[in-house]
Amino acid sequence: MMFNTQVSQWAFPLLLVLTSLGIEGCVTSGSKKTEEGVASSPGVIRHSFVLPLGGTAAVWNGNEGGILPEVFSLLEKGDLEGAERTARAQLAKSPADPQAFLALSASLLMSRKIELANYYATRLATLQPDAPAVEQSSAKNIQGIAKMLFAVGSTRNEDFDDAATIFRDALSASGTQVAAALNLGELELMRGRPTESLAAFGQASERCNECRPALYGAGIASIRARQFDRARNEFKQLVKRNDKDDEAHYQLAVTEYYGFQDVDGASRRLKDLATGGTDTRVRAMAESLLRKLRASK
Amino acid sequence: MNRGNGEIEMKPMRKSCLTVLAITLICILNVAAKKGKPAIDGAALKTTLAAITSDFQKLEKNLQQQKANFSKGIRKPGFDPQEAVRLDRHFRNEIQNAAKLDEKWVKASQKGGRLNAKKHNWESKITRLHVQWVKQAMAAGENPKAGKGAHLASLKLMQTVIARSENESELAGFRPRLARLYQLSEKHADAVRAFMELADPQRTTDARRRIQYLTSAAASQAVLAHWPLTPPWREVAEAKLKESPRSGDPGARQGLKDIFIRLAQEQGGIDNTSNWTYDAHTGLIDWTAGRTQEGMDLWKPRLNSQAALNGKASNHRAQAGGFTLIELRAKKSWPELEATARQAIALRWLPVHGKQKIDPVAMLGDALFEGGKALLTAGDAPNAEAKFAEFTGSFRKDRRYEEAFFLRGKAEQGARHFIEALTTFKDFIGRFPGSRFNEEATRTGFDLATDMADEESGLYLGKHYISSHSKSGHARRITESYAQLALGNGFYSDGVAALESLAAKVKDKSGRADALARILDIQVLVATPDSVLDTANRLIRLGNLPPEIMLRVFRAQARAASTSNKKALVSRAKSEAAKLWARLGDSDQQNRDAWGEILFIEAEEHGNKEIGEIFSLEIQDPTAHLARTGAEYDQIKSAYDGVCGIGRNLYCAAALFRVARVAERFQTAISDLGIPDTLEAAVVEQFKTRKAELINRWQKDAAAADSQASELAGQGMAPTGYSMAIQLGGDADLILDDRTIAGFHGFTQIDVR
Repeated sequence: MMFNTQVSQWAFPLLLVLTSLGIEGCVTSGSKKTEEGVASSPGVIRHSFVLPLGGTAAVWNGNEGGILPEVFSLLEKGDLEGAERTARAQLAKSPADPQAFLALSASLLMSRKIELANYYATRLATLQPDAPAVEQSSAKNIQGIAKMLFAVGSTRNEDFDDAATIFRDALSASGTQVAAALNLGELELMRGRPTESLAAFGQASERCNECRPALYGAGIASIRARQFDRARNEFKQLVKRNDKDDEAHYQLAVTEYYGFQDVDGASRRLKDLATGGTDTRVRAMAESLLRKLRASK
Repeated sequence: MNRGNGEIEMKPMRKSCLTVLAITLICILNVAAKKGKPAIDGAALKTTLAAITSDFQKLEKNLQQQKANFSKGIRKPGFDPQEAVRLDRHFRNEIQNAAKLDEKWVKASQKGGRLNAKKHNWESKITRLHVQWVKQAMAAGENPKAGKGAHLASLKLMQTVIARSENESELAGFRPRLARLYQLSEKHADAVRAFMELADPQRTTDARRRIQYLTSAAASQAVLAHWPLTPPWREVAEAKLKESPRSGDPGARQGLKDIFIRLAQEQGGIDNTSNWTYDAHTGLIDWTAGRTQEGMDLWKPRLNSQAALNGKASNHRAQAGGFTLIELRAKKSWPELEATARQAIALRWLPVHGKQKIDPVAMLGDALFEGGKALLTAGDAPNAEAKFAEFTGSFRKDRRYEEAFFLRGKAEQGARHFIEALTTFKDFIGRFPGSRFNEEATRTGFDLATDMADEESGLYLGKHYISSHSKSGHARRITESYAQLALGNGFYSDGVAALESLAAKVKDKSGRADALARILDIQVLVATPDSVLDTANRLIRLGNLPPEIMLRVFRAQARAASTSNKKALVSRAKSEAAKLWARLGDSDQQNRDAWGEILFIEAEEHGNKEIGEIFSLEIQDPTAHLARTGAEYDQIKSAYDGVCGIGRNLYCAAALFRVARVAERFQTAISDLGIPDTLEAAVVEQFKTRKAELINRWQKDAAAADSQASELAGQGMAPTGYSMAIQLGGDADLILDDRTIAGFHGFTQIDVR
């Protein structure tokens, strides 16, 4: 399975516009940068976080507590270059350190250096049984992403099947694994299978206590499945949780319009976004849809 | 006694018996004469006394003769030591006889009127002769050059004398001589016992004499133990003195060792000059008994001494050092060997083992190399690293230099000196390209580089591995890993070349083709269309490949050709694939998807061309244009329908989606198409009817195609680029839901411990 940065540059032009995903998740008590390197000894997981490709901060934090090692703190904040540099330095001192490997692989993935990310994730995965299950799980998740992107290029269903299998393996390997469930949901959505996608986002939601990426993904999958009631519930929950969540507001407006033909409700929400939204990309989309709604009237 | 020449020599004992018998006969005759005769007159007395004196003189002469004979006989080989006992007994008898003759002479004198007659002290005279003989006989036997018979005679005589003696002072004087005679008589066990009794400090207070006794005891014990008096370095080195049933009493050597230990103790402290001989013996006795460690422990303090030594001691030190070095190496006691070798070099022992010179520097090399290996095996990498570092620094011409260099890298790695280890491995493969360790060094270095995220080193080592160790059992893993690393770092040609080399090694054609097809898949993602076409052509040239592989090849060819706007090539790919499809049938989903994509690409090529042409035409005859448009639509739709016509495949939904869009496009295109009312009414009506029919059909076609496409997409049977558009229709562009590769939401997770 191969992928490269050139393809990534070609393949991810829209990723930049997704950076507003879960901005609220970036401020955590665990983001203080005081420790050097990473801890290599297996132990109780005291902090977990999920990062989106191309994101600038974690979109979900779990079991927050304590002070994070530097590399994780940088990753959590989205300082990918700093995280990569720190992870490499740690690996030079302590080769094959599972957590440093994971941090490097994750920072490369976030920087869309998919092939290299997969390279190190594969190495981490081959360290079994030395590497703990949690790191194995995260490594598999990265491998799954690489495989999924390969499948997108090859457009072969068997490659998608392989990627889905890897994500499921990652979920089986660790009960705390959330990202693989989110990715599986994305994969199914990409393949046009919203029902399967909903199931995956549901699993993610259970594991991350209804975190934003899981609810948001479930909402999107619900629209695809034309389950507009569920979509509306998911997005309403998100805007109730954070009134500044422009994306959730926008998707709620879309659901109200397409699912319930509530032109007035959708228009009000879109107008608010178009005038007061902080996400420029969402604002542009809101303005466009608002024009369409006005025209339909 | 037969003297060998036929003569019978009268033995002294027989002679003395005859003498006694003669005297007795004379006495009897005298008594008979007295009874029968009157008192002796002067002449008769004189005669009688003369006879008695003569008898004594004969006795004395006989003894003198026997003494002389003894002195002569004792020097001859085969002398019977028992003669001394017999002569001694004879002397003692003759002393009594002499006393009796003297008594007889006195009595005869008195009877003859010489009332004041006194004894001649013939007893004393003979006793003196006896003592003189005893002294001479013992002295003769104590001469080391005397024969064994003399020694034994002397011994027996001395034992007899000692047995008769009650004088402690006299006995004390005899004991050392007796011990010495035991030794000379080769009665070594008795000699050892006697000397050791003498060496008892309570018996002998003079230390110097004790040492003499112990030395003598050692000499006899050495005979019992079959042990030479000079430390037998050479013999032991040549394994000639091993303790065995033939080497005498098993305890003999232990006894000898005990004596040497006593001697060493009597000699005083360790000064390296006086005691080396005894410790040499002691250590060597241990050596022959297999107690080499005891020997080495004994020599160790002496070897540690920095004192300058004279010739003999120097030789002992050289031998002890050599023995120690050889033994430590044989026992694989590497740390001890290293320490001893360093000492040998520093103190200039010039060690030898028997006749063989031992090179302490070479021993140090052995200790460092083998010691390093043992440490590495035991997991003590830091110390192993130090050993190999010294070895590679000091033994550059050693035959093990190459291996040590490699092991140094492993030790550095084990000692967590990773940067040094990686440098060593890289250096190694450059210096020793033909080494039997080159493969492992390259592989270990490559894996280490990966684990250290040192991509530059990884690329260097990976490339070297592929070019040098392509037949290794690890070649596949390393090559795949290297290819991934190369591609990840943007070295596409290197990465693809690595994968191609891997494919070239696959022996069966099918496997090789499969590997090349994988490369093709990768190239579709990373390479230019020309590269893809190049690889596809190479695969085609391989010929006789499995049809499913060829179908993948033609699909890649069609894709790349379409991207490069090489329409003829798209058609050719489709044409070739069609032949394959006819052979394959529709049983396999992957084949259907591949064939479906080729048909779809071809349909797109055709559709875009036709649409472009027809909608750019200047309309002169609306009716004709309508007819032509309808025909063109049918042709385009037919091409898309062909995609679904092969059975369920991924591109059917895309084709249906495209049919719907084409239908919409055609609807839009002819919706404004009119016909001048000035024309004939029937013509106008016919035009309008035909236009309505077409629009109606296209509307139905679009709705049906969208519906079918949506159903297929919901089942996951649509290409990712189409599924969202199919499922959300015209509203898709307004929803933040781009789950194509461009809009992929990927998530990674970190769990911090």
